[in-house]
Amino acid sequence: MEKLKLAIKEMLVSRLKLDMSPEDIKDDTPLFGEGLSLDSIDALEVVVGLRKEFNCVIADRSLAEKILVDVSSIASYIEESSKA
Amino acid sequence: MHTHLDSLPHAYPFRMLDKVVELSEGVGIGIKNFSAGDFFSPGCGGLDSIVPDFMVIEAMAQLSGLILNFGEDRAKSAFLVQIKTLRFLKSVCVADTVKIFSVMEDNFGPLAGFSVKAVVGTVNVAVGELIMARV
Repeated sequence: MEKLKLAIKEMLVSRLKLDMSPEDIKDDTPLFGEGLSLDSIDALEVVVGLRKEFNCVIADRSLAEKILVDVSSIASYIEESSKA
Repeated sequence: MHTHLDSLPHAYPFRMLDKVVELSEGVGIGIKNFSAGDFFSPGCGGLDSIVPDFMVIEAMAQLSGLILNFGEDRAKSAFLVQIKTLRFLKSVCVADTVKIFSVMEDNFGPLAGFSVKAVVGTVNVAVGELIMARV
């Protein structure tokens, strides 16, 4: 799980061109609002990144709101999806 | 008879598509004939002069907007919100006919990502990715 979380952080930094290292992102740092302060365009980029780099599909916005909370919630979803 | 172009809110001199060759779910092909009659041409200085790149971007965005609204009962506004990547491989000249291709790659909530390409003859002149928003 820790390797997965680091990979997610690396994806976020790379795709969103964040001015920080992956290690600077805590597992529970909120993606939106206070935290990484991502916007809706960033959200689309994260959804695309999850699909391309983790083969993980987020089908709609309501599901995205539950999953795209922080790195931990994303990692949990990826693990559950891979078991299904 | 309603044509796809009728769905565009733009009019001369800022309609950057002259014809829509194909429009279907997630895909579109359009044509823009740049000419000496275009409003910017006098400033470019002749038929072999270069069309400003942003005109090609606007054509790509207008076509992508039509794709975004395809099948909608009521046309919604569509806005270009991000140029993710765009490479201009060759200049477009006044008097060129440019074929614009757009394919919706991602569709999520109010945003959609498009792969876009502009071709003159058989030569790719621009390729890239745009993000459009529907309002």
